[in-house]
Amino acid sequence: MKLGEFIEKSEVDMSDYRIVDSRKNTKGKSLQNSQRYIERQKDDRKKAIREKIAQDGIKDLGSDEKKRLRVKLRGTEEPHIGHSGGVSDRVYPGNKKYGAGDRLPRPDGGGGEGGRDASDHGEGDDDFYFELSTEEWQDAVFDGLEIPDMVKKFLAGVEEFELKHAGLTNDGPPNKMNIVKTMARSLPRRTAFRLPHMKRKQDLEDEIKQLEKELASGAVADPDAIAKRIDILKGEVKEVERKLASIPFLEKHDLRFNRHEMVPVPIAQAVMFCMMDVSGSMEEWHKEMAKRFFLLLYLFLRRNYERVAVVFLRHTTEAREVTEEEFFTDRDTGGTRVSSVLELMKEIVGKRFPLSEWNIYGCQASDGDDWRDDLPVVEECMTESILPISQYYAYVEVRQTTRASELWPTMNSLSQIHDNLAVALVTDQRDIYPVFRKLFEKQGE
Amino acid sequence: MKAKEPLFTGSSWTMDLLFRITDEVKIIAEGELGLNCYTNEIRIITSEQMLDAYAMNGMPVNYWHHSFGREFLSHERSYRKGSSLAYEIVINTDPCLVFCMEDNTATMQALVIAHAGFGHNHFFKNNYLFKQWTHAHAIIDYLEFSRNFVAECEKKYGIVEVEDFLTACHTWKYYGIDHSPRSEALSAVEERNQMRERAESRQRNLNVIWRIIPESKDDLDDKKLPTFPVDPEGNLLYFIEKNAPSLPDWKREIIRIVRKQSQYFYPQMLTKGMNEGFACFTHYFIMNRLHEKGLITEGSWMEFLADHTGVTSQPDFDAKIRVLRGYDPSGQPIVEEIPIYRGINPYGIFFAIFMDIKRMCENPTEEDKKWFPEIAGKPWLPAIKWAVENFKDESFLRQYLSPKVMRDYRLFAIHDDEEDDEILISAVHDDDGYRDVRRTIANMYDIHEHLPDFEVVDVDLRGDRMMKIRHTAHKNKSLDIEETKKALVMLGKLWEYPVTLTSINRDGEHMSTWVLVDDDVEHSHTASE
Repeated sequence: MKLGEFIEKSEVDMSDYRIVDSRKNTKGKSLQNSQRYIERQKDDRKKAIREKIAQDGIKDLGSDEKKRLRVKLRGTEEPHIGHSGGVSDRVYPGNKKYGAGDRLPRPDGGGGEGGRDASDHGEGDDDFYFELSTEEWQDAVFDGLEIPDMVKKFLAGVEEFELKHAGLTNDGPPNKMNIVKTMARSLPRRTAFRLPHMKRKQDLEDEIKQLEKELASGAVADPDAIAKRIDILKGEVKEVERKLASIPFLEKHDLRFNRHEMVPVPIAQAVMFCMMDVSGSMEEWHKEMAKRFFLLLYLFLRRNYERVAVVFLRHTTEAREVTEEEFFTDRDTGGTRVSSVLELMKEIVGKRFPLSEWNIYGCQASDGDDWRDDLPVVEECMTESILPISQYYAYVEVRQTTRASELWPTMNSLSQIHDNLAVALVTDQRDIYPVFRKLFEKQGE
Repeated sequence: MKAKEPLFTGSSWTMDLLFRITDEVKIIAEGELGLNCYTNEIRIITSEQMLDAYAMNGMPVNYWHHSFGREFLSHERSYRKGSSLAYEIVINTDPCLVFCMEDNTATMQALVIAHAGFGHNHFFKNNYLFKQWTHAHAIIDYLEFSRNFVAECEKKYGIVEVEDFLTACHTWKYYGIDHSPRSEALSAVEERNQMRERAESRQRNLNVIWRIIPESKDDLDDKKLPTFPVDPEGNLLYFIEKNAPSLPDWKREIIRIVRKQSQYFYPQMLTKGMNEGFACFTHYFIMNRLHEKGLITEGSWMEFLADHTGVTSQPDFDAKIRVLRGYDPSGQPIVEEIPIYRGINPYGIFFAIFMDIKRMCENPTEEDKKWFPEIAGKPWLPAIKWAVENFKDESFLRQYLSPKVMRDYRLFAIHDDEEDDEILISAVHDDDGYRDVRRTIANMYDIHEHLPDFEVVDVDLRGDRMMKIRHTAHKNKSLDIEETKKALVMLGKLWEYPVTLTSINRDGEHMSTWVLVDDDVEHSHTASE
């Protein structure tokens, strides 16, 4: 073989290679691997989310921006075996001014770069970032939480029905006709049927025109025969027009109708009573804590129900309904009578929230102060009227001291008897989320 | 030489055109360059399939493992962000699998077929390391076997169990490599012959006079158990596979699978630069010839040059690009300078060296004659092929990096001692420095620069079966303490008994020790300074 010289095709064996179009072959070979990876990541993700909650508190829980989280993958990382420090000699391209023997300060960070690139050994960076939308974020936050007793209400509640779209049929009442789909069938049918007739008509008309022109020019042998021919042709045109007109705009098999089905819907609305003691003993700090707790509850309910109504009740010795703003900002002074707010709640439920349509949630925040005489009234009120109608009632005591309050023993003992009452103590901002989780943890876990 | 009609004028291609392109490329590659390649199997794939191929460790078949999933997701993420994928992937198999992206233009397809289908392919078939360590015809079958075997294990022992064991193997995969061939095991017949020969030789040389010398007392005391292994073993995975006291067989087989894959990739690790450099040399030669023959248009020639230059360019160590980030309130542009140096581009310098070998053969200067008397003025093609067949990156640089290329690249060497505040420019591209620069850059491609040197030195056979590993520090480089702890935990999953790792420096002094007992690693310094 004449190497390095011009070669003719005949001198090389052309038969021994193949070109295959593999584009149709299976893709997603990595799907299985990716799924395994994501599965592995789950716990690490959860951990990262918990850590973020602990760090940031809950104040931006409700914000709509995307949450960017960094996960250190514990279960999946492969340790990187490598050197650190020591002596290294490296070569770089692009010298401009250095001479042998020059000394220069070590640049930050750039140390091992040149050496590392010469090999393809692992990257050692196992950190993975992921972003969560508001939706995913809340999913993660509330993962494993469940509204207590929701199931009960699903079963026992009055069944409401909702029409749900369920495909198309070719039969149905005129008001359900799907115009777009129907026309999409009618138009091509009409076009197809009209086409031969239109063509025939065009041909006939052309011929008539031609004959008329000949007739008008007078240079024809037999004018009568031509006139007769024209008449025949005009008759044929009429016939074709009749056929064209007979093609219906809509035919039975063009018709398409929307189909709907009745789907039972569970009661999808809840009302949440936020109750707070605003007597003198509740300071800004207490209210701040209470507010965060209410916020969590609100977000939680909103995720689980289509509609959530919120009623704000505040009380000293008297309870009254207020707006959200008043609830958190205004300040009253005076003593404390907890039973007042319970009575008000009962009254409002009776007036505005029939039990057949609403799930009732109560959430009360207090520093635990109460008149001693009021305690039996509270107990009676809870047992007789509030707990029977509530899906769930959470009592959160906010205080910084470890000294037991007046209200705590009462509520605590009630909660031993009633499943739908939960009590919790918050002494620090960081407690809120764990307490919230504890209150709403999936039952049976 | 007669000018022909160009093969194509636009950028789109058909399967028929690919055949015609490959024919012409093959004429030049095999006819003019005389390359000796495996049969090519060129497959056209989509970008999704390319991403798959990326993540499978570059293999067409592999076992399932979540770390491949992580690879896939991170490649996919950067692809979605706009970074581009490789034009091709080529696999060292027989027939040689060349995956070409469907997005490539006709010019690019010609380039990648020349680059991968003939350049890499010839390299795979002819380089001594590949000849020694890989079996191109058998690898696909082996991969099929390993995938099935691992899947079978997953069914029996559970996915997590198998995957975790694989993770431990992956951590130590670079210690599943033989750096020199093992001697073949002797057959029973050979063994018997050897024994007979030994006995005969003893008989022949028997001299009763030695019997009268009594055994000394010292000799008796020294008759301790021999250490096991007798010689230190650097292939840790091999050692564990063969000697782990109570590892179930399926785990041994999995270690073997990982070890085999590592060994298969070993030549690629050692010849990455040369392999790319030679493939670039091949495609550059072939595209040139296609152009000379009039088989590609001026337009596609320009397109090729732009791509080729992009691939082989080498930014300076201090090169930066300026990116406009917006405007400040007073209307002044905010410009950010981003350093773009990412190390030495193997496509660049190794291509330059191959071109330089050709230049020295064809037009040698006085300097070349002095530095490279064995090739200056000689035929270039045999010189290039000799280089391809007999070197790895490290030795290739040591042998062929010429003063001219060092000057062109303006290479300089630095000495960076962590105990020093400053770094020293140890040599530059001048008469005094050429040899130092060349030695330093060659050392960078020495595998021990990146892989710490570990050996199994002893196993406590009579006691708790503790495996002792010795790390001999390269240039007094210490190990990363935390990563080594984690790596040792992984090693413990393979050995299943305690492990210690002792770091010693060049003078044999202890530097530090890691002890793994029950998944817990303790580290202590024994710094002698």
